[in-house]
Amino acid sequence: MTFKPSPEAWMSFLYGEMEGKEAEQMKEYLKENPEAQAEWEALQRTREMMQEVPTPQTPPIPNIIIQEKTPVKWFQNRWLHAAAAGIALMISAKLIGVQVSFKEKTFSIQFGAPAPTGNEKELEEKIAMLEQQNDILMASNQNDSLFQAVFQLGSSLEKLEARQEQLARRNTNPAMSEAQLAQLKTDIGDANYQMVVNMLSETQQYQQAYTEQLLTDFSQFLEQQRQQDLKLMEVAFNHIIEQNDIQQEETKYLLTELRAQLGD
Amino acid sequence: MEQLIAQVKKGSQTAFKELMQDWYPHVYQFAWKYFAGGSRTENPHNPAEEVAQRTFISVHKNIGKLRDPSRFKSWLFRIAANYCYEEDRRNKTRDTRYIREYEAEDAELKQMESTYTGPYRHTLRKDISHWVLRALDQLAPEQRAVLILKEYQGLKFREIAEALEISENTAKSRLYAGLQHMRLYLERKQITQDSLRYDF
Repeated sequence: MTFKPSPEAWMSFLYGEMEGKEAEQMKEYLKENPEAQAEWEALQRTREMMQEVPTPQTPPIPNIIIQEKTPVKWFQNRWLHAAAAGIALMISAKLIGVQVSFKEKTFSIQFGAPAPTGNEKELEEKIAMLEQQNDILMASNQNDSLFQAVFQLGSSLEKLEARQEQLARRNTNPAMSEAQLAQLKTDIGDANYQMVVNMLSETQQYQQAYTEQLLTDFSQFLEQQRQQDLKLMEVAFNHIIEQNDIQQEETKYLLTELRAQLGD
Repeated sequence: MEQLIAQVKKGSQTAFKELMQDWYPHVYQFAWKYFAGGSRTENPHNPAEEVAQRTFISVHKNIGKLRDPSRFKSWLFRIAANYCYEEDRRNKTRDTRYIREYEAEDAELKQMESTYTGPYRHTLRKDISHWVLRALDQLAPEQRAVLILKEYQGLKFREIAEALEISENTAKSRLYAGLQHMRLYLERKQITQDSLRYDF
């Protein structure tokens, strides 16, 4: 007989899922082959041993409550929200009057009426505003002289810039007289001179005060160190004196003991 | 059964509870054996319980996708087997630790048997179920799943094939390999029903 069952056939037969002619053939094969019969029995024994595993006690069945998903209502749709926001933006832009422009590599959006172009009055306002800012900042930083010096320098530079712009504009104005121009130049020169003098003076004063402060601090630090060292030395000397006294006492006691023993 | 599944599909919580009462123990027992009797756990985590719970959460969520209610059993065990594989992958380090523990246990047993030669020598060897679970634990996850589904859950080969998404022949060959491995392992450890049966 040339029949040799495949592993699949073995399993079908072992678990009773083989029927008819195939099952008969398998039975015949086992009857005629002691080795195959032994293997079949070994597999059966393995299965029997597997049945020795007890059925575990199932833990209490959990109460699984899964909340149903509530359907999204039309007014909860985020795309509708985005569209509504877009429409609102368009309406408000129309009402306010938005100007969108792109000039000299600058993209700008403006709301309301267009801003007036620069003129003399605007420059004067700018200078007045700078001076006001200067006063406010100076008042809030009165204690810091270096800050004042630096701020004054910055402020003067901005003023100078504004004056130069004023001058340039007036140069293009043929109505401006020579005397007015000379006065303007003198003003600028005076302002510059005053600015540099102030800055140097303030800087010098500040540095002097700072150095003095440093030296004072250092001398205080040295004094503190000296006091600490002295205290330490005092403690150390006291300790040595105490130890000496103790040793003296011990020596006296030992000598007394020795004398007593020798006397005995 | 099919009516029950239809009710669960309609969203009946009562029907779902009934379904759980019927099938939760089966899924738990499958996972318990897959994880070697729940002994391969890190206290207080019980992977079998976790697999069973996750399986039923998935059942509740996805039962609408089950087209043929008569195939519920294989569908259920497919979910459970996938969670078992996932849990196995997550705990690779734990597996190596258990292999080391098994080796230590073997060495201890050998030592005890060499020093004690009295009449109840075999009582040293715990019980058959301990060794069977250890043998199961040695199998590849795919072989183990087939063996448990066949031997303990009594699924037909067709159902096992459906559950594990393999062909019937693959299910049979995996079962054959798994059984042979079990047989050889138990023989090597000299575990037989006769050797472990003793009367006092």
